[in-house]
Amino acid sequence: MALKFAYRQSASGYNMKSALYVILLAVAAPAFALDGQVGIHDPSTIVLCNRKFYTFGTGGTALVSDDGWTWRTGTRASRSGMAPDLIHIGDRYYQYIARNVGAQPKAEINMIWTKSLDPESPDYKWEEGGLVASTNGIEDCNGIDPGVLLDPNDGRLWMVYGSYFGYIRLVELDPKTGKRLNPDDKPRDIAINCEASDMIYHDGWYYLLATHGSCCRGADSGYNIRVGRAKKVTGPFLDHIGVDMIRGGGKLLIGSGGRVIGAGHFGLLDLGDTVQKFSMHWEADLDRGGASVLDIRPLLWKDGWPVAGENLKEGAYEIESVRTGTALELAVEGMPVGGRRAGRGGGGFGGPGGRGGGRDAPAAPGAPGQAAGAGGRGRPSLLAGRKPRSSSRRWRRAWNVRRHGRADSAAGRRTGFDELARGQR
Amino acid sequence: MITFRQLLLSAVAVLAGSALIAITASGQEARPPAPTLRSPTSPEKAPDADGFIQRWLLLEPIPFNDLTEIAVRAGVKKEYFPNQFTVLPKDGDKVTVDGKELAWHAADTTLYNVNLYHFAWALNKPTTNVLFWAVTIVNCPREMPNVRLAIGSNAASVWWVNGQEVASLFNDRQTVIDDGVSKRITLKKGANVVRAAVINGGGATDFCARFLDADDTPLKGFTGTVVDAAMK
Repeated sequence: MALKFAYRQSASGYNMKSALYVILLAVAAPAFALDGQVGIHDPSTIVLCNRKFYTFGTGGTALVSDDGWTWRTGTRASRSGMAPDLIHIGDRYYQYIARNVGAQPKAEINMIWTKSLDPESPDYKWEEGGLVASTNGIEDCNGIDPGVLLDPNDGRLWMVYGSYFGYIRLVELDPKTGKRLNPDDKPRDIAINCEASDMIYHDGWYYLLATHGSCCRGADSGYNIRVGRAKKVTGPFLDHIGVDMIRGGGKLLIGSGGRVIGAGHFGLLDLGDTVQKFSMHWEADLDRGGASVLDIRPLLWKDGWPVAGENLKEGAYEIESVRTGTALELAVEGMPVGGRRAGRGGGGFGGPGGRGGGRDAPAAPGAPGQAAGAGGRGRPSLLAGRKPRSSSRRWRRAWNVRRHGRADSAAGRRTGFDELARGQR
Repeated sequence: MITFRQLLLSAVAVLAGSALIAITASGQEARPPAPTLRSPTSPEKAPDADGFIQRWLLLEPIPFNDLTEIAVRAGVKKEYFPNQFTVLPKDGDKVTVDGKELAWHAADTTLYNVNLYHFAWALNKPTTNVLFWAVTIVNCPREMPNVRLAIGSNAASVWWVNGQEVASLFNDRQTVIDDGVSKRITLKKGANVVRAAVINGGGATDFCARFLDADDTPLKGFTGTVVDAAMK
């Protein structure tokens, strides 16, 4: 439970637009990470059904979780293949699965659908939906790695696919059936020499996420997830410096780091209420014997671009304003930038005279006698001079701070896996 | 629903197909030509609208398995074949590397980049853990000072212009246009030799190259890139 609680804090904290940043202090500790059976390669987008989370991977791997954190082996679908994607539309769950039908790049993507992902449900029955895309082995595309987007603007359904053999392509599907809408329409080329593409929509932009680098080489893999964006679903998808993804562009979202190597196969997990996460796999988790494993990270947004958040590590955190570099101005309503400094010491995150935090609130930065007072420069510490407490208590204080410091309090928001699962019908 | 009979028939069909491929290829599966590469049909070829050089001589891949700077630098210094830094090969020329005969192939790319994965794949050569040599000749009608060679490669690469190393990229990376640029150099009047070694770990492998002028816009003043014509 402590783990879930901490995660809610992190998710809400990271999504307070332009106001707060949660900054890790120098405390080395293990990160909150997925647990259980997480071995998978090329996971699909994670989809919620009957209060459980589901994902499918290459070779038919099926994983299921009750809370999004602890996973176990699930029931394989009726069809397996390579790098499937999964989407819920109306009363159906569609799964798109690729397979080679000869030497690459001769491949095809087929669709199956069911009315429930839960094998215990009477609605659970995978039906064949047929072929939705293919490549003939000669053309400059390898028809694998489907990624599906239901456009929230107009309800149109799109699928991207392809691999490093050539182009990433876009075709339109029928949202009523999941099948190809106009099979004779020529697919549109939107990126090149990457794979595991997926598309999402956010705040007026279509984002194409694709995986660069080499896969399937364990700890030598160079997989990393890149992104470009476009105003139209058909592109062009440019990165942050204007390079078109059809010429190799792509802003880095996440690559290797620490004990995990080779990030690939982005999938959006939108938990609602502005809380988003994304799924992916690591080519090698060195703490799990170099196995390919599922991971889920916070999906943050900065300046119109997705940013990969960290799953928090146990430890002490401080919160500061991105705008001023201080903490107090966020909590003290009406406090001017640089104003009221000397001799205050309060008016901050739970300090004396502050706006919350209660009895256990940490001392506010800018205590009397300190050079950097409220609104002053330098990095304030919420825990300055205090004996470290349990992580959960520290988090509650941070929670209180935010709850009292902002009108749009994060308190009570459904920001975690568990609340979403409970709330779903 | 797939029946056992269907599964059995499918298995038989797959086995039969595999056998057919094996027989037809006499030990090596015949593959269609690279979708983005063409054999040159003209003595010279101008760069594309964005200045990318589209004609190259490509040597079949040499085994190589380390993308780090130290390994790549050491690797490209090794002499794989005689005069590898000065030779101006022709289409069809062959060299012997570690006892294996490798051929040079003249190719025009239809895109901004040269897809080495397509190149090797079509020849049924390895695409993983390999080193490719690429050579082209840029014919300039006049001396062109203050230009930069702008390159991108998947993955590591080292580049020489007229025998001088001018740019390099290391580690596992994607080809991005102008990912690396040289210092300002001068292209002499006449033939200028551009040479590259591109090393791939796994997955896609390709490169792109163009010259940028003094204003860092694509250089278009040269009459074209030639291979065979310049050497005759």
